[in-house]
Amino acid sequence: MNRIHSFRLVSALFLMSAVLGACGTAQPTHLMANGSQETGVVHQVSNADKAAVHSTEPLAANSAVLFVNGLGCPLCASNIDQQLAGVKGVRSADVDLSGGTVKVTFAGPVHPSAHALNEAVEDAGFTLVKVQPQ
Amino acid sequence: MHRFATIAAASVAAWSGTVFAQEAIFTQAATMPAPGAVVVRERVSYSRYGSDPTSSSTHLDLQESWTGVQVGLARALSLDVDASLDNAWQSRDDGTSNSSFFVRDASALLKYRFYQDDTSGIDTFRIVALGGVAATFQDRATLDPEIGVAATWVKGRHGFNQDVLFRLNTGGSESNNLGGEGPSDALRFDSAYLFRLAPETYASDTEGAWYVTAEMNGLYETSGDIDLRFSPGLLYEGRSFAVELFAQVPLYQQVDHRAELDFTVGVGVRLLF
Repeated sequence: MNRIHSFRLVSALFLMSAVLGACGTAQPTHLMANGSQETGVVHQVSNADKAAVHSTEPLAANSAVLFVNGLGCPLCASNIDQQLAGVKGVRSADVDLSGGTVKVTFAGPVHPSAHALNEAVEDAGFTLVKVQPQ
Repeated sequence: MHRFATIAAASVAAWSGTVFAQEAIFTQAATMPAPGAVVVRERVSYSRYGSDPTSSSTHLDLQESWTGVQVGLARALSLDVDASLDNAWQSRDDGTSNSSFFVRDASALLKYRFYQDDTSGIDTFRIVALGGVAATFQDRATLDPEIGVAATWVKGRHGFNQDVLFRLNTGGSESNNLGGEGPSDALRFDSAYLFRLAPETYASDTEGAWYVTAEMNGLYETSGDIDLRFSPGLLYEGRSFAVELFAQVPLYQQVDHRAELDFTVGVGVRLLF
């Protein structure tokens, strides 16, 4: 087979391949019954929230809600569960995919810092944008 | 027997892909387990190939058990190791046939995430670099370097994966090649689209999700052989496991140096530890 012809054909197939995927993601965003777009929760985050994520001060509250970006699937939830469970001072982590949040409860005399929680979330492959002590 | 084994050993590895969340069946994705976490995948498939222009075989039936292990090494680095165990039956022009059972080739691939943009609670876009080696056990063992890139884009219920992987083949036999494992270098390009069938939206108590997958798997070899396949699939993903059903059929094949694929069907499971 002519090599040049082969190269052109492969290029065309590659473009088709890319277009197939692009068409998939370019589908109109699904509209929910209430009219809201089903594209995942967009967390409202202030500059203070962003800074607080890196605080090394132990959290005083007995629990906190972590606002996390990138939690696209149930298996992701288990990934982040495992990482947060390994943080010293964390008793449990409960993922809520609908809200893009993780509720973390603390145990023991020393609670983890927001920085430690952020490290665990990033290790799991996600982005912590806000920590809300409760 | 040995020839038959080597023919089968050169089968569908080029179409295998390690899978984790939001990953399709065959296409590489820019996702990986967290450091210390392990994902084990087991896949059983049945494939039928047509006549081989380099031999007297009329068709080849291949039953394959594919095992993949993905280990999180660091925050943005994982190692994928996989190997296949095959049982194959080859039928010839003269009506005779034979079978063999053997360990197929194996590969080790490092995946490094160098771009990540998580834009909402669900949505994300990631890109990884891939690099490693594939070992084939044909007439002689060879170690073939592989390099590539993969991207994953998740937006709401839609997921898209794209990969491009180049394999520099240092050995192998043209007559034993069923896709990407002969002496010619191989360029693989795969696209995958995933649609979350259910739930329509996640709830606080969501424990699993159903996805339908559609892939286009392409392979170009410098020998001139071109292969394009369509792979539909169904995936259920829980919090620590996933189950997948899949098939693969040819869309376009211009193959002069190996047997053409007729179809593949299979089932798989993924476990997160």
